[in-house]
Amino acid sequence: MNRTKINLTSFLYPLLFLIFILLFWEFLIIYFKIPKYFLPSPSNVLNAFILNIKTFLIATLVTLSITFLAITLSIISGVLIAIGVFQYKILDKTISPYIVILQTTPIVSIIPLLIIWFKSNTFITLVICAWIACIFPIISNTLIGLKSTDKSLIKIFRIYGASQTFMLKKLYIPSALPYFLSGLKISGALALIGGISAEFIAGTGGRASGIAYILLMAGYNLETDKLFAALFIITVLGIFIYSLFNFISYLLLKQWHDSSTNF
Amino acid sequence: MLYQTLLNTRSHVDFIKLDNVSKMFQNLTVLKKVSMEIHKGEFIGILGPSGCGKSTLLTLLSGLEKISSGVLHNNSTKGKSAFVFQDSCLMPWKTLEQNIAIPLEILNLSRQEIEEKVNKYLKILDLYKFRKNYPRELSGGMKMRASIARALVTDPEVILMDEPFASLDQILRERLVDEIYEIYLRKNLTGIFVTHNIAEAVFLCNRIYIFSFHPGQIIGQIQINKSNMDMKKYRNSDVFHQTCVKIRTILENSNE
Ligand SMILES: Nc1ncnc2c1ncn2[C@@H]1O[C@H](COP(=O)(O)OP(=O)(O)OP(=O)(O)O)[C@@H](O)[C@H]1O
Ligand SMILES: [Mg+2]
Repeated sequence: MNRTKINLTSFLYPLLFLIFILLFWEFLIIYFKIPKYFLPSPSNVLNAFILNIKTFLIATLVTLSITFLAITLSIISGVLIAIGVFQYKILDKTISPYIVILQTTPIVSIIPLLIIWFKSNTFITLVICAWIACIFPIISNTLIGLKSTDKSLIKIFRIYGASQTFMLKKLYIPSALPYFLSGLKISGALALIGGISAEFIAGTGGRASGIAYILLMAGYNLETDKLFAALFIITVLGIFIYSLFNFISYLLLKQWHDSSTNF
Repeated sequence: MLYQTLLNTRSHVDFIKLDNVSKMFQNLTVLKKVSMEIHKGEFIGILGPSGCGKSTLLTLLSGLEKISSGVLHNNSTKGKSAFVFQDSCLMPWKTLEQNIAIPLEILNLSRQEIEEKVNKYLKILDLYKFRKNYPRELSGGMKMRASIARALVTDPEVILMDEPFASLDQILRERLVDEIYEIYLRKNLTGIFVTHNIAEAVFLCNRIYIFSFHPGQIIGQIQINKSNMDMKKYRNSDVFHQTCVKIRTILENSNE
């Protein structure tokens, strides 16, 4: 009961603060007669949002599908790479330096190359960019998780002659789960950032343009109200993705992991 | 008494034997020329300062780690040894009964057999009510019991214990020590018991090896004759206290 109370106030106060800021903002615009192209008022933004709702909706869906495709790809490939590196010393030695390079190279700099390769299909370019952007936390967190399996438990499994596959399934992978999930939360945010920055550079021909492209175009055309609306959507998307993964990780860990209790 | 007859009928054949066994990690000699004989049905205590290689010795006895030199004979049946560690080290994602079942799953027993044995040990260790609970929902004492149940569920010949009660309070320790002792007497167990607690070792064990630090070497061996004594009386007896003092003296002298 105490907890719901805390949750309510921690939700209410920021909301009241937001309403206050919006009202103050609206007031400033009217009072100082600031032109719309320079800084639109909240009501202008809301108006632009309603007028373009269909475009926004489609763009949001495109951005979301890029993000989720990228996350799915990086979960599959990231976990496989982590397990491979964990199981085979040779793989560890061979691949690890490249994983670090992948991590330290800013993805933005690979985008032009990808555009050359996948010129005909911008969607694929965007997915690949987002994928590269978000795979690292999955690999490194899963690997740390696998490696930090309780040493005594390993001894207990081995004293009964458990096979490596059995241990992987019943011991290492479950041990790594909390680590994997916290990597996934970071990955979700990175996939969105990756997809959006790629779209900034790649742009999108045709109909399937994402939210970032709309934001960019609104900027070129000085439709600042539309730009703000797009910005707002991106922010909401970010929060949505983060909360979604937070919730998934809460569901998966609720009976056994301490850190999941303060969801 | 039941205890007595059981103790007397135990055959004293060589079971586990170490002959000048040394263990090195890279250049570090952790155990140096350790020779010991462990007979079937004995309860052996290992005492010594922190870092003297007690845990390493258990790993060697379990066969999980290779010795660097010397000879190690282990006539116990493969897969019939069990570990108990200081932390209960249960898997937090499994319920108590699933945790206790894991050794049997590894040994590939049938569902029905697993269920039978797990239930049996859940009852023996007073955990049956909590079988569906996850470890985080239980107290430290109950988790330790579950960990002991997991070790016993395979009916092991040898049980290797590495400071099993170190994280529990005094009362709980004594209760668990009593329980372990009783199970030890009922089963044909051989126990190897690493501890820092002299009194615990003197209570449980019939022989105690004392190790020195750096390198780990045996500096003393104490035989305890308690076979004709009631355990409650034994705990308050002169023999008990004198043995404790004797061990403390050996340990203290080794530090100088
Ligand atoms: N796998 C390993 N590689 C290298 N050194 C090791 C390894 N395992 C143990 N050691 C070293 O061996 C020495 C003895 O360790 P061990 O854990 O056996 O001591 P211990 O007597 O059990 O100590 P404690 O009472 O603190 O548990 C330590 O100095 C430790 O650093
Ligand atoms: Mg130790």
